[in-house]
Amino acid sequence: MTERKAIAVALRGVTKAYPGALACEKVTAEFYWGEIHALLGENGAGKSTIVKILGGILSPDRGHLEIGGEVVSLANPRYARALGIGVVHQAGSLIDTLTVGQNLRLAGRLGAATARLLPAQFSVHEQGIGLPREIRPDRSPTEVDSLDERPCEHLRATSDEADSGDGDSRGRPEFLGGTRIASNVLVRDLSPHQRRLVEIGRLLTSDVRILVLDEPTSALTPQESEGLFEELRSLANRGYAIVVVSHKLPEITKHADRFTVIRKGRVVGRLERAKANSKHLAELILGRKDSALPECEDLAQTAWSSTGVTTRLARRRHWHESTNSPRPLLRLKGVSTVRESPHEAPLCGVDFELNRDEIVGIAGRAGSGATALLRLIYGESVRLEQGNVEWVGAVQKHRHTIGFMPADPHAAGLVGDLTIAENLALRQRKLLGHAWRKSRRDSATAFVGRLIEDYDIRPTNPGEKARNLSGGNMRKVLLAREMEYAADLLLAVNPTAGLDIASAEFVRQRILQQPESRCTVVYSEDVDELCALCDRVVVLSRGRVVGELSGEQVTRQAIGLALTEASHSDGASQDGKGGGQSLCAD
Amino acid sequence: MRRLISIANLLFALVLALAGLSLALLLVGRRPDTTIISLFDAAFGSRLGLSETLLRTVPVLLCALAAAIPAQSGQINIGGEGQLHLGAIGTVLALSLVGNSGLMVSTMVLGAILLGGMWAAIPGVLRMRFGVNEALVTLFLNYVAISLVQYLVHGPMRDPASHGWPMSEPLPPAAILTPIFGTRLHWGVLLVLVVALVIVAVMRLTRTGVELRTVGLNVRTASLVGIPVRWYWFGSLVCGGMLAGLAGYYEIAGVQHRLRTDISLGFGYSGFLVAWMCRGQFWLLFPLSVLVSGLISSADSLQIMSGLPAASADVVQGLLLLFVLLGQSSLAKWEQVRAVRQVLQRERKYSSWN
Repeated sequence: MTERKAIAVALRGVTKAYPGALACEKVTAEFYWGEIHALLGENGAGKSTIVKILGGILSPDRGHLEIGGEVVSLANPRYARALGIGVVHQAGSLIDTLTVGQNLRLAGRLGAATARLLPAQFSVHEQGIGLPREIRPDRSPTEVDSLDERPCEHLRATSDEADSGDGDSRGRPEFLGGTRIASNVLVRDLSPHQRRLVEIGRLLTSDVRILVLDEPTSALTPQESEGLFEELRSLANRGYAIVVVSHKLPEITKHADRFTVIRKGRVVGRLERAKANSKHLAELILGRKDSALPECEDLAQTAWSSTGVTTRLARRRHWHESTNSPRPLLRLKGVSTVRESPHEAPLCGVDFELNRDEIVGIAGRAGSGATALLRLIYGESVRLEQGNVEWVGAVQKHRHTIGFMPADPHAAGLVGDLTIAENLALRQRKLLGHAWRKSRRDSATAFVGRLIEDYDIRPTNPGEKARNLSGGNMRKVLLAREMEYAADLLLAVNPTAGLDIASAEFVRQRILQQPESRCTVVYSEDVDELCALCDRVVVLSRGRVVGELSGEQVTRQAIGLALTEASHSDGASQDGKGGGQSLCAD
Repeated sequence: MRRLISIANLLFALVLALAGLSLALLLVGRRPDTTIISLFDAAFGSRLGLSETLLRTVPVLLCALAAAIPAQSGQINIGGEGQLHLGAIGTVLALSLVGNSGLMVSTMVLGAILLGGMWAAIPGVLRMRFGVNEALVTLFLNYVAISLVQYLVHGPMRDPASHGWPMSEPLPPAAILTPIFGTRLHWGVLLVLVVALVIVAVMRLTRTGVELRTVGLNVRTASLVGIPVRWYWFGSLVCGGMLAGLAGYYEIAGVQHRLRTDISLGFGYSGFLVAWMCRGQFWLLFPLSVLVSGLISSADSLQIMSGLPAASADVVQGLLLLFVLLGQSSLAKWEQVRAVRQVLQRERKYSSWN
């Protein structure tokens, strides 16, 4: 790392505008071969836009891209791929219903097809990429066409375990740094960690030399993230250029060689590893000097201000004192449900209790059954196989008022084409309409005005269409409506996903300040968020409760460990049963 | 501003559609200018023409509402035509049940609304209970309804005095709507206007309207906050069917005076086109209904004067829809491009750290 490395990709004065906002403005950044480069910034800072520009999904309004010193224009993702840039998107782009091997071969085929489709002038650029000789794959251009025949050629396939007959089974390749993933396993049965690895591997099967990863660790446990970064490091050592977008400061500070910090679409800092520490980076990201920001490894855990932490601690103490007389709200006894979707495990003998005045976290990967559990609690028509759901203190469940905050207000929760006022009143629908009745109109105005003020919703004009709000304010509208409604129970899914730090802090504060008669259930994929909010955390895996932590036990290490252990034991059972089946099948 | 743009878009689309017609006229060797002028003259130029146009506006507007109301809850009702036919059957059926009595008119209206609503309830129930696509069911039921009318006028309802013509007995004079201004126009046209205004008011100003729109705009949110989504789907379809049924009543009682196979000049489909062009802007229903009705009523004169088939008016209708939709989507696209450009112009001075 001593000598100056060659530039792999450079953004030169890239500007991209969306209707109503400038996503990034004159961004200049250089990414080097053999380095892990971290792209940091709050949500909405413009990181994803840069990722999309690098991936050829968006083209910049101004400025340009250089690959190996040559100006290129990436008209579409195929060009980007052909020029050696591969993007691993946050949501992932593997095909769930195909096997690992099929997914890998699909990439190979596309790669070969692209090579043929490329216009002549692009081969010039490709030659100009200037890869150091030693990391160029030992592969002549003719071999590119036959890639689909050998999907895992660089993966040191061990053919001794090859399954019989089936064209899919290509043995069990040793994958990246020793993580073994059988190629005949369906992608949907993989853990998020394994998916990431397969996705990276799929890029490596084509001619990709520049890896761009958007939030690669978002669904991983701390332990798995470490593992992923080790893989990335070994790739970097082999000469790949790696760009990682992340908002998890501690891990990225630890693993990246170079940092580019973006705020409000502009580059506000470029640092090398030697000069970087989490505190400094956090200040750059937030754009303010915050003395409350602790200079510690656990910055993400306390990234929101110290007040949040004290509230949490106070809550914990309060909760501990009052546990003498828990006031139960809901009991699930041995609940099993029917599998309703291939992506979601059914519940399987879940015993679960909710008490008033507590904040319960549910930890679990996507598909772990948490969604089924929340839907069951919310009273949606989930088909019960056995067990019972018992509401305490009410004959029927709809005597209780239950609020629900979905993860993505755009998809469910808010109606973009209705006004703020109408959205706020969706739970109090007596207040909707009645334009000619003055009393109703007045109470509606008062109600909406109060919520807008209480929850600091901007713009304050109640007639504004909800679709014109920022993500944070949308979340506030949702929060205001559901909080106001949920007297007994509030269910929140990823309550701060996609929010900037200030908005996230606001939402967390509001959740923490809950009245004593209410119970809040938070399902989050972010372990840190669970730690920040919850008095008690229930760990779900494959529809079973595999762990329960309460009080001081709730730490990111403990949750991460429980999740990792659960997925490991899943892996074992998966091997035995061929994967994918419900363990509840008996 | 938005309304002005909508109207401008509409006029522009009309010009383009007429340009398309002109092209066809040139191909058959007619002068487009005189033909088009006489076309408008036939539809709007004289008292007779205008009254005929307004006469057609009644079923077109009702069928447009029949499609526009379910559209608010995200349901596509292409079945206005069939519901209109069922309304017509209901009218005649109700009349034959009560005979010539004081309750005759209200029973006829009720019968029409009831049968129209029931016809729409079929796709409504299928949608609500089994999730069957309502667009297909409503469309297919049109053919069933038309065949049903054919069966009735050829069989059980045929007038013995009709010398074998497929038509039912004529309505008694008391059941026929009084013509006004010495034309075929009847008072129904005003009543329909009132009905339409009331419905627009309900849509815009009441809780029901807001809830209905919520269902149409975001089903998941609607069900999340406890709005009975399926009932709104069902209700809006039935409501639409009732209005189309009412159109059937007006055609029988105001125009045809008996059940025949050709009671509708495709009003159901024209209404659907109008509703689709409005895209939830209810006020647009009124001018568009009149315009489309004008095209329908001038179809005959077009045939007589220029030798083009009467179906050319349908072609103009189709072109109109095409260009309106094209205009709407290019406007949306243009607005987006403009917004991006504005942002780029506002771009702040580069005063960054390097």
